[in-house]
Amino acid sequence: MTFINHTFIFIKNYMKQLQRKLFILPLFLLFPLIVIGGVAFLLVTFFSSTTESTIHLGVVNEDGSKETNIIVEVLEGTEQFGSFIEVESLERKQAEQKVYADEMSAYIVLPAGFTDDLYRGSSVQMDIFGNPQKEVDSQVVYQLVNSFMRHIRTSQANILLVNEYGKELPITDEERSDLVFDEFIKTFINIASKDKIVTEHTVENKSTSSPVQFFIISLFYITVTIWLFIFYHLLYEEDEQRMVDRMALYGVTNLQRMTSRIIVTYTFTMVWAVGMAYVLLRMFSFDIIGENIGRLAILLCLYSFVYLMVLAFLELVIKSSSIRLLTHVIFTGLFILLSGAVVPAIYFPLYIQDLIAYIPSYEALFWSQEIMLNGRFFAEYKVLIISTISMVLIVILTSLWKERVR
Amino acid sequence: MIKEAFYTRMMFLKKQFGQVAFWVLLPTIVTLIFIASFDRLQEDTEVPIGIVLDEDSEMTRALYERIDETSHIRPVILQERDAINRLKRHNLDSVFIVEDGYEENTLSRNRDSLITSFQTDLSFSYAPIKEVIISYVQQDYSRMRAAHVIRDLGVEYGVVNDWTVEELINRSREIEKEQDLLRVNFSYLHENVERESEQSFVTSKNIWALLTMFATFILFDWVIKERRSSTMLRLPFMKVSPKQYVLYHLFIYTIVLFIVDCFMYFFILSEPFTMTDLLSLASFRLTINMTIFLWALLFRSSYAFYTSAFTIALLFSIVGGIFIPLDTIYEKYPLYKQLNPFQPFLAGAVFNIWFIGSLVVICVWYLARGRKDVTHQVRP
Repeated sequence: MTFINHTFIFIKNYMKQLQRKLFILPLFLLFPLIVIGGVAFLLVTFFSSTTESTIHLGVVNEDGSKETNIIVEVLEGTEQFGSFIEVESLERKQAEQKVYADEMSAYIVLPAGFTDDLYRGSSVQMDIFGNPQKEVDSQVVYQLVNSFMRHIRTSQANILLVNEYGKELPITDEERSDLVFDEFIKTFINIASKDKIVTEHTVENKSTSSPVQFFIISLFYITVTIWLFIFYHLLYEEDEQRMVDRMALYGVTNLQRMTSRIIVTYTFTMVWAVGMAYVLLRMFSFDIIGENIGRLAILLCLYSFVYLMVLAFLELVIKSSSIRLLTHVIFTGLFILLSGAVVPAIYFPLYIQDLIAYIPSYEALFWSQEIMLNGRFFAEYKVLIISTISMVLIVILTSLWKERVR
Repeated sequence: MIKEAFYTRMMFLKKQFGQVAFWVLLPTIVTLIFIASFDRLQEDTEVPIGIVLDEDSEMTRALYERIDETSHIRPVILQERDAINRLKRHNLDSVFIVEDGYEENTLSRNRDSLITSFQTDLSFSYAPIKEVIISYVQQDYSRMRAAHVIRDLGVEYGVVNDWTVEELINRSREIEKEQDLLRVNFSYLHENVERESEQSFVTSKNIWALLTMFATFILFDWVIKERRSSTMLRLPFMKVSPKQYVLYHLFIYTIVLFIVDCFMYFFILSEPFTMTDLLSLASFRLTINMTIFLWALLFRSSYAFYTSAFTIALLFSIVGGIFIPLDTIYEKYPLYKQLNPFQPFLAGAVFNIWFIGSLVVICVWYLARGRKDVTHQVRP
């Protein structure tokens, strides 16, 4: 009875605290949205810019053989590397100057003896010099050239093959080198048109696989998690030892305060979560039937509860407030990452995929996605329920044990 | 004066040595752990793709095996309908169908549409995987082509009739295995320093910078705690004003932390060492120490200060160019390049506008209201 009484007193007290902070509450509520929006904005500008703006690429031909001349010509004339790369042939000195002047993103050097070495089968090294002020562009160029060279590398074996067998034919050296040259050019053109190999299709299924809806679910879970984190910490007060001792005399235990803090945080966040869910469902036209709303609600409730319980447990175990905050943050990060909200879980290494089956956040997010995106009428709560019960027990036992020790 | 301040610092340190050591070591250790696990994860990441073999022949099976052996790709052989279904449910990144007639078409040197691919809006790895598969098909194809060219020539000149296509193909494979000859070397054209190209944008330098700022925040809780402690009452005996006291200690902290930084940054993380790099590091350390010092002056409770530290670190991990490169933002808004406190250090530059700003503010703060105290509440 005293437990419930005390808990109620603290609940009232914490409500008052929230009321006192009424004016900055909107800021806290918007904080996760601002952060996620910022990340999205930066990522979008980053990725769109790499395809929109033209990258200036220089080619320095120090070999000067007819083969390399043709390569350079083709590169200059066509959109070999994609429409967003402009290729220009120039001298090494010019290229260096242009990179220093920030007019060029990178330049490639075809070294002297490039073709001869290629034919003879000795090793060739191509250098790419990037502009340190344009790291992203330089990396894009590097990746493209690398993939292009991978094709040439495999074709080199064939050129050498033609050369080798050509020696056994009754033809002059000149005729043979013409033959090899011919093969080289054909290979090159072949590589240039390699995309013909694949016919591409995009699977579209408006009702189920819109990426927007996919990300909205992640956004929702991340936002709720951050809210829980913020409000849990907003209500935390560091008491001096004297105060704690005095309260202990009245039979106040840490568990009571913690319980009431969790209740207040939980209820408060859930109210806002429901509001946000309502808005999102309306805005992004999810089609969900009554029965499934219940399932989604259970998933969210269990998820949030387990999360708070872990925070409470860490608070009991770690004394130093700075280190405790650090562990809270690390835990929150891992909880979100492993749920597959940031990077979809199918891209995880296999041993992590085996592990996440036991992680409550993954289960909650996975079944929410199944219900909302794939129209399932089923959800599994096994991991969530087991972890909820065990976390509650652990928190109570730890708290009692800590209280006793003192 | 400095000497006395140093003794006081040592006395404080004696009590808090564990905590202080923890936060001093944290940036470097976490950076190392982060980079190692990030690399490990990147290495072990496997993208699940569906492979549909409409034709079951030696060539298609060989193709599948090669895809299977490729790192970062985990192909699953499926029926077409099943594969598409799984793709729709995002259980697969993308689906590649090896069309019927693959072998025959390759043999007759018809390259078009040997493969059909399916992707969705969520196929994040589609482009690089397509590239890989194309390169394998292309390889099969060009090998076949070269073999045919030679055989035709052999027939034409009537010299050798026993050059079979198979033999030629095997020889081509051998040559390829023997010789891995074409190398691409990447480096930055950068003030005579050649930086190795880093495949990802998440570099140890960026993470270390962010964590160093964060750890400095936590370390600087002394500004709050000591202004409230009874030490302040004893200051008159040391003949220093409270402002002088905190400034001395800021000085000591800066020197000590800078020495630790040099060791950690250049030796443990083995970042390139030049005079500019050293100055850049010094400017970074001075900047964060002064700004965080000023920030800490605004707080009464260390708990609120810690919370602000986490929030600021989180914000800067996004807008500071730590994880997401900001090149395009800088191009659009050159002013932002100046205002981002991390930008000079990350770019290896020395000048930081925040350094000047906080130095001015500290001077104003010191001179304003003379030697009036900075303590908030000293309890008797």
